[in-house]
Amino acid sequence: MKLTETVVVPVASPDDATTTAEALVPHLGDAERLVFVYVVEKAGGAPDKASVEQREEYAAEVFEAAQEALDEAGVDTETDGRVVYGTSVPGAVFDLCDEIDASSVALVPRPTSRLLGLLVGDRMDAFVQDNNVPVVVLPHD
Amino acid sequence: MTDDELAKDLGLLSALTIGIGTMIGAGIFVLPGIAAEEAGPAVALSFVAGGAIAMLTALSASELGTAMPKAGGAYYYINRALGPMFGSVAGWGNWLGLSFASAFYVVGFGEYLRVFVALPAVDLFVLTLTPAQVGGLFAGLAFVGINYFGAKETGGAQNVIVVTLVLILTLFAAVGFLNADFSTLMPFAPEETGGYGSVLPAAGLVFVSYLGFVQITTVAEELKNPGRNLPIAVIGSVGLVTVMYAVLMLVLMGVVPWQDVAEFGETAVVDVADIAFKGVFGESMLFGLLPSAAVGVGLLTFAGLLATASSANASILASSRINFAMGRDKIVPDSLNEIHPRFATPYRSILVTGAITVAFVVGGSVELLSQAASVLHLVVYGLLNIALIVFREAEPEDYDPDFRVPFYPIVPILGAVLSLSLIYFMNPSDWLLSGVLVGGAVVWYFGYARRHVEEAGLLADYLMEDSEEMPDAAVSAAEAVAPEDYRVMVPVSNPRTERDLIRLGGAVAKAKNGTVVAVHVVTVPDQTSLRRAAESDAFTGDETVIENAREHAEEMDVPVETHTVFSHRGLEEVFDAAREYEADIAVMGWGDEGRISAGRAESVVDELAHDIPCDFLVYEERSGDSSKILLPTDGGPHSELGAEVALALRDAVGSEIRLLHVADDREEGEEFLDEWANANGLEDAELVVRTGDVEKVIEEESQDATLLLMGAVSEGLLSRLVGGSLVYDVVYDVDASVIIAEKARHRSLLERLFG
Repeated sequence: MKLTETVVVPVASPDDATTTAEALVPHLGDAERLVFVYVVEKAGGAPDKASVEQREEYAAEVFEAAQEALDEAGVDTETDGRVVYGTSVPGAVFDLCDEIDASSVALVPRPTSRLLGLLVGDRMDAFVQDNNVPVVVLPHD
Repeated sequence: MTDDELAKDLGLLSALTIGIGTMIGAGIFVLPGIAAEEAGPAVALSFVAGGAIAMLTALSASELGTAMPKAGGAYYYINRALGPMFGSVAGWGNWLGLSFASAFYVVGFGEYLRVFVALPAVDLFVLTLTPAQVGGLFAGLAFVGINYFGAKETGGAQNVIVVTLVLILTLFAAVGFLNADFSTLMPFAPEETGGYGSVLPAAGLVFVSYLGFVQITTVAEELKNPGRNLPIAVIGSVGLVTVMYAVLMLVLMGVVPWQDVAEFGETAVVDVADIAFKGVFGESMLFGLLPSAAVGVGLLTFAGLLATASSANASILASSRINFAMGRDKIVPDSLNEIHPRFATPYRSILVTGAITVAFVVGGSVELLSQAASVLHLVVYGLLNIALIVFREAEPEDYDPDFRVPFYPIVPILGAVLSLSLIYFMNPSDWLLSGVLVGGAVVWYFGYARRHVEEAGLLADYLMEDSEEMPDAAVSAAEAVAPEDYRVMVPVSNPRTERDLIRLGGAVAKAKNGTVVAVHVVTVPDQTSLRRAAESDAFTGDETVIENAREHAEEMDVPVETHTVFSHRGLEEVFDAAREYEADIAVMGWGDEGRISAGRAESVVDELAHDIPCDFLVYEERSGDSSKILLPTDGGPHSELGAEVALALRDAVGSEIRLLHVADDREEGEEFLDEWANANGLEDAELVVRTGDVEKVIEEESQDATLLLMGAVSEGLLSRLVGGSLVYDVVYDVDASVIIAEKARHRSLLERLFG
C-alpha cells in the first residue's frame, strides 16, 4: 500500500513529451504525482555525445513541452521533471523509481525502424524485460 | 551514487587517453617524412621544442580548467576573460583549427588505408583527388556518421585503442632501437636542411602533433574530480607524447638515414617497421605463420589507422562542444546546437563541422592542413595564456582553481609569447591564414555577434572598474548633485506572507522617498540552469505574487518596480539580486521556507567571505500589528538602522516607540539612552533603562509590545540565523513580531574572521 501513487514517465524529446503527456491524460486514474524523467545517457568512460550541460538545457525544453500538453488538457496533477544519468536508459529510469518509490512507469513506444533498432538499440525490449515496477504501455495514435 | 557522480564519469585514464589519443595520431604516423625533410635528425629537437611550448599552455589550461570545469574549454576561458571579440577569434580559431586537424587526420587515415586497400584517384575535372584524399573522404563521412548517430559503443573503445597504440609504439621503438645504427644520426643537423636554424620552423610544422591536450578541457564538465584529474591528464599527456615523439624520431632516423625517411613520406613508420622487424627477426616466421616484416608492417599500419581515427573522432566531437559554448554565449546562433530528438546528439553542429572538414579534405594537402591547424591553434593558445593572466589580475570572486600555474607570471607570458612567435617561423601563407582568421572573426563579431552577446569579458569590467576610481572630491560632488533614489528590495515568493513584507518595505521606502523593488524569487530544481529557467516558460513563477506585490505597494502610495529572479534556494541569488537592482536595503522574511531557512553551507561561507550587499531587515511576522514597537539598543550601527525603521513605521502607521537600554549602571545608562535618542531623532520616544540579564529584560519588556525591533548583535546575522546560532535566542521566545536590522558595513578580513 503506497501513500501516494507516483508515476514515472520517461520522455526523450519535446515531441515525445507532448505525445506521451497527451496519451497519459485519459489514463491518469489514481495517479497523484507525475514525474517526467529525461535520461542523459552516459558513455561510461568516454566523452558523451553532447555536453552534459547542453543535455540538461534540452531536458528543460522537454519538461516544458510535457507541462504545456498537460495544462492544455486541464490536468492539475502534481508534476515534476527529473534529469537522471546512466549508461542505460531503462536502468536509469528504474533506479529513479526505486529512489522515489514510484508505483509504475508509463510510456509510449516510439517507432523504431529496423535499421535504427540495430544502430541505437530498441529500448522497449529493455523496458519490459528488466523492470522493478509495472510498466504501462500507453496507446496513442 | 549521486546524480553528480553519475554525470561526471570520466576517470583519470579516460582523460589521459583523450589527450594521448588525439595527439598521438599525427606526429608519428603522418608527419615523420615531412618533418625529416624539414630538419633532418634534429627534428627530434623540433618535437621537444613544440612539446615545451605546448607544455606552457598546458599549465595555463590546467589552471583555467580546474577553476571552470565547463564545456567549451579554451574558448570559454578566453571569452570570459577577454570578452566576446576575442571570444569570437578563439571560438572560430578553435573550431576551424579542429576542422583542419580533422581533415588532416582523415587524410592520414586514407594514407594508411591505402596500405591495405587499393583506393582509386578520382578526377573531379577541376581537381584530382589522390587515393589518400578519397580514403579520407570516406573516413570523414564515417566519423561524422558515428557522431551524428551517437554510437555509445565508442565509449570503452577509446581506452583500449590508446593503450594498444602505446604498446605497439613501444614495441616498435624497442625493435627499432635494436636495429638502429646511431651513426646515421650524424650530422645531427644537416646543412642541406639549414642546420639548427630549421629546428624552429620544423617545430611550427609538427606542432599539429600537440593539439590534443586542450580537448581534455572541452569535456572538463564530465571529469570525475577535475581538480586533480584534469591537471594530471593535461600535463601528463603532453609530457608522455613529447617523450614518445622525440624517441621515435631518433629511432626512425637511426634505422634508416633521414633522407630515406623523407622519401618514405606519410607512412614512413610502416616502411621503417618493415626494415627493422626484418633486421631483428630476419626472415624467420613469427608464430610460425607470418614473416616478421609482415607482422611489423601490419601492426604499424593497424596502429596508424587506429591513431588517425581516434584523433579525427575526438576532434569532431570536441568541435561540437565548442559550438555549444559559443552558442551559449550567443556568438553563433543557438540553433546550431539543436539536439537531435532521437539520437540526442548535437547533429547540426556535427554536420556543419563535417561539411567544413570534407571541404578541407578536398582542398588541401597533408602539409597545408597540418600547418593551418597548427597556426589557428597557436593563436588560440596565445590568447589562452593571456586569459590566464587576466583571471589572475582581475580575480573574480568565483575564481578558485585547484591547480595553480607555477612561476606566475613567467609561465603564461612565455606561453603566450612563444605560441605567437612560433607562427613567425611558419610560412607566409600561414601568417596570412592567421590574419584572415583574426580579421574574419572580428568582422563576424561586429557583423553578427555584437548584436546578440550579453556579457562583456572580465578585462572590460576590470578596466571600467579602475576608471571609476575618481578623486574623492569629484565623487562626492557627483553624489550631491544626483538625486539619490533609495531602493528597498523585497524578495517575495509566498502570496501569503508577502503583504507584510511589502508593507514594511513600503513604510521604509515612504520615509526615505524611495522605491519598492519587489523581486519575485522563483525556486527552480537544481538540475535546471538558472539561465535556462529564465528563458523557459515552465518557470514563469506565480504571476499573482508580482501582481499582489504591486497592489500592496500602490495601496501605500509608493513607487514600485517588479522583477523575477530564479534561484536554487540559496541566499546567493538574493544577494546577487540586491547587487543587480542596486538595493539600499532588503526586506525579507525568515520563517519563509525556501529562503533563509533553506540556506546552504555555502551561504554562510559566502557571507563570511563577503560583505552583505546592502542593509537587511529580516522580518518574522507574528502579531500582524506594529503599533507598539520595542527597540532595544546598545548603540551600534545596526541599532541606528533599527531607529530609522522605527521612525518609518511611526510615520506610516503611527506606532508608539519604546527604547530600551540594558546597562550595568543605571545612571550612565540613562545618560547614554538620552543622547542616543536625540541623535537618532527619537526624542519623543519612551525611554526605558534597566539592569540585569539582557535577554531576560528584552523578553519581559516585549510582553507589552507588538513588535520587537533589534539591531543585529553582531556581524553575520544572516549566517547565524541560517546556522541557528543567533546570539540572542530571545527573538524565538517572544510573542511579538520581530524585525532584525543589519547594517551593511565594509569589514576588514580580520573583522570578518573575528567579528
